[in-house]
Amino acid sequence: MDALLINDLKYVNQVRAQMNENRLMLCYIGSMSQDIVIALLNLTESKLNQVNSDSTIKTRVFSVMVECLQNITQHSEKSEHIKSNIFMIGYADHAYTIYSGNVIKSDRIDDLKNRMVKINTMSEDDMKEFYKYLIKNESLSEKSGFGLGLIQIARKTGNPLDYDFEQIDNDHSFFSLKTLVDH
Amino acid sequence: MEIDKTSKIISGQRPLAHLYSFHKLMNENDIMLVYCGDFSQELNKTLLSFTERKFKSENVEDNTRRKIFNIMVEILQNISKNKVEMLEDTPQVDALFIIGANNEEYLLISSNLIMNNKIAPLKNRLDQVNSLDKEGLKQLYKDVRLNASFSDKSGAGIGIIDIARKSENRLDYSFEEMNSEYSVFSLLIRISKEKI
Repeated sequence: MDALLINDLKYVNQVRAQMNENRLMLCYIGSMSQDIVIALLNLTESKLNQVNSDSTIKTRVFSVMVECLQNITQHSEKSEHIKSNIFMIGYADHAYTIYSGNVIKSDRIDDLKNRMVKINTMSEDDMKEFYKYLIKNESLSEKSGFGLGLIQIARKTGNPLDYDFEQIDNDHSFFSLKTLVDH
Repeated sequence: MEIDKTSKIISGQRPLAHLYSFHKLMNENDIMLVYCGDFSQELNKTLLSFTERKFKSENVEDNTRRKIFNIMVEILQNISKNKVEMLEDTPQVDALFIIGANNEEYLLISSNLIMNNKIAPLKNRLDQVNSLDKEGLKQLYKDVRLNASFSDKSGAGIGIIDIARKSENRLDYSFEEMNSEYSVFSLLIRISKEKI
C-alpha cells in the first residue's frame, strides 16, 4: 500500500526529456477506434492552429495521420497488444514528424520492408504507376493492407519512409514508421 | 540548409529504435496521452473533448467521467494561469499534461514551471489537503471560499482543495528546483475506477 502511495514522479521528467529530445508535442498510446482517430485529428488541428501552419500543410499532415491511424485500426494485432498502438507528432526545424507504431505478425515484416524499400527508391511517376498497378492487381484482402497507404504517404510527403521493426516475441514484432511533412 | 539526419535511412542503424524505449517508459507508467507545449484556450478545449471521447468510447461511468472532466478543467486552468513569462534566464521547460490509466485508477498529471516563492503556500496546501478526510476537506473548502478575496491568484487557493475533494485520493506532487527562481512543479491526481 505504501509503495503505491509514494510516487516520486521522476518519470514525469523522463517523459518531458524524451518529448523534448524527439521534439514531440503529442503522444497517444492505446486502442484505436474511429472515435479516437477523430479526437486525435481534432487535437492535432488545434495544435497546428497554434503554430499557424498553412492549410496545404495541415491537409497533408491530416492525410498522413489518417493513413497511419487507419493502418493501426485495421492491421494491428488486437487483443493483448492494445497498449502497443502508438501515435506521436512532433515539430522539427523543417518538418512535422509523424510516428506511428503497432504490433504486427512477424511474418509480415519481409513484405512490408520490401515495399518500403521499393517505395523509397521510386520517383514520383513510378509511385503513381505502382499505385495504379496495386489498385488493379491486388486482391481485396491485400488492398486493405498497408501497401496502398504507404505509397499514399510517400506521395503526399515527398519524403522517404523511415521504419523500424523490433521483435517482441516469437511471432510478433513492433513496427514503427516515421514520416516527415515539410513545413 | 541543414538536413534532419534522422530522416535519412541509414542502413545498419536503427534511428527509430530509441522510440521503442520511450514507448516502454510510457507503458510502464500507464501513460495514455502526453501533451507538451503551449496551453491555449482552444487546445485545452480539445484536450477535454479528447478525454470525453476516449472515456465515453470505453464506457467509463458517467460519474467518474464527470470527475475526470472537472479535475482536468481545474489543472488545465492552473497551467494556463500560472504560465511563467519566458525571459532570457528562464529555464526552458515545457508544460506537460498526461493522462493515464491502470487497473485501479485513472491518472492525471500536470507538470509546469513555477516561481520558487510560490512553492511554500502551494506545498502547505497540498500537505493540508492530504491530511484531511472528506469532512475536513468540505470544511476547508467552505472556509477558504469565505476568504476567497485574498487567495485569488495565489495558485494555492481553492483549486487544489477542489481537486482533492473530487479525486478522493492523496495528491502526489514534486518540486524540482531549476535555479534560484524557478522550479518544476508536478502533480499526480488519481481517480479510482468504480468497483464492478
